[in-house]
Amino acid sequence: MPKLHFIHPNGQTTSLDAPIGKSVMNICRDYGFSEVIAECGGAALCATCHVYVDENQSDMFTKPNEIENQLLEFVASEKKATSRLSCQLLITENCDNLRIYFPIQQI
Amino acid sequence: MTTLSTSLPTSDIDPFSKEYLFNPYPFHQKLRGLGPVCYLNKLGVYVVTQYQYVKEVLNQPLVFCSGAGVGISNFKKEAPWRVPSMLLETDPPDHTRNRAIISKVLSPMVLRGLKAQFEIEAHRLLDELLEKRSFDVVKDLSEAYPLKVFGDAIGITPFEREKAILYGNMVFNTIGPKNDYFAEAMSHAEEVIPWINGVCQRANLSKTGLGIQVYEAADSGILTEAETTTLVRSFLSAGIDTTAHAISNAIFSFISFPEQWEKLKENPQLIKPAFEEILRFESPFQTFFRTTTVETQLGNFTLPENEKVMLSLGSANRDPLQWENPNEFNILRNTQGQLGFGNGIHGCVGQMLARTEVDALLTVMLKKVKSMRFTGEPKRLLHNTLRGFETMSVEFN
Repeated sequence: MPKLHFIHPNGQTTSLDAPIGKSVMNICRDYGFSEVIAECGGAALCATCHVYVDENQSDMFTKPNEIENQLLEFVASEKKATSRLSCQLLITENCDNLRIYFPIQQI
Repeated sequence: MTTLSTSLPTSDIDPFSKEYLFNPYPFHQKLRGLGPVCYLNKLGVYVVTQYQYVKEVLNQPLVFCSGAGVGISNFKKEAPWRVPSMLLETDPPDHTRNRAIISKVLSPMVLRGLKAQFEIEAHRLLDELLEKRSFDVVKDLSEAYPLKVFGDAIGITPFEREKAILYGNMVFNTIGPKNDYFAEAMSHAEEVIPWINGVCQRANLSKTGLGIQVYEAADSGILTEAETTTLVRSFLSAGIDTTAHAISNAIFSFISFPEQWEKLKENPQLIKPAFEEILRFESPFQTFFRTTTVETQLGNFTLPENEKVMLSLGSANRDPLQWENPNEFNILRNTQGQLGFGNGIHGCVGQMLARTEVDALLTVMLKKVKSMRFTGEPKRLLHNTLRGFETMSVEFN
């Protein structure tokens, strides 16, 4: 299974094995990371599952579609080029050593 | 005539019978026990009742399409009763374009702004109801609240706004077969259809509401004026009855299980998960269909092309393979993955608006309502696809 590294706002890192096919959002929920809220449960409607993908690893995922791009305009923390909605990031074999940075707030 | 694989289970259960609609849960259990998919002999359709497979179907929108209608009527075989919805009854790529227009209008920022208005009306309405003490939840709260806050948010005229309830009733009952419930709903067509078409016209929408913003799509040439009116109609089709039944079901559940209301009062931060549990436990929208576009496999069974497949969200939400003690109303449960708003590309686009409405209402109720009780037997609504009540007499203190 690919290894994922989640970097919390306080600088600490949590590393874990991620099942293929799961979304980064659901992995965060499974591990109880409070930094991701996901009010809409993954329906790409609420913009509260915002994360930053390591700038060298954006190729691990397909580019955001129009709806994700729309919603990224509404994230509560700074929107960066590396911003993604974690409910749209599905883990594949190519995701080994993926680094995900949590924003400071979701609402 | 379809050729069935010999091992595909069949059943004589009628999911639109009075018995099923009154209390579907024992029927769901039987159907889930028969397997991932079952053929309903009386209706000539397939039915999927297990959580895993309902979710699987919902996430294959090109194989299990919506463009042939999401009711039992196949639009490839018979004409729909209304101009098909550009959201509900449309497939990609048009669906993708149409949905993007609506989700832009229902942005998180807009919804955050609406919450304050919703709470103001919740305060006003609950003060009025607490003054009355005895009232009918369905008319005086469940319908009154969304008619006011949702209607105002979309920006439709207050004149004869209650017709929106009749329209929603038509939309959702006609997902079922042409039975008595269908006929009763359609008996209002003459008074309601002209009303709905009128209120969605550009000239009749408030300049500051959400409905008028959809007309930007017409102005920028993405859609025609007529298409835009149909798209605005989706707000009124889907946005009122469902929310009203969710509110009725919430109050019914909290009065029936008062210890859950006590838990919520002690822990108001549980309002959001409590609403998810209401949607799981008593899903307001129980049943709809997809149509196969190709021969396909579902759980080792072969489904032919151009066949109707009924999905039971109500059953999926109580599937013991997915939920521990599924028949228990428990606001502390992890409701992640509940299907009350559907799933996939057609998952309810208004769900954040619905959550905001009910969030505001429950927030104010927790502050003002000390106790609630039934003052008579609640009268269950018999409806082809919605689950809720016709009347529910209560006393609030």
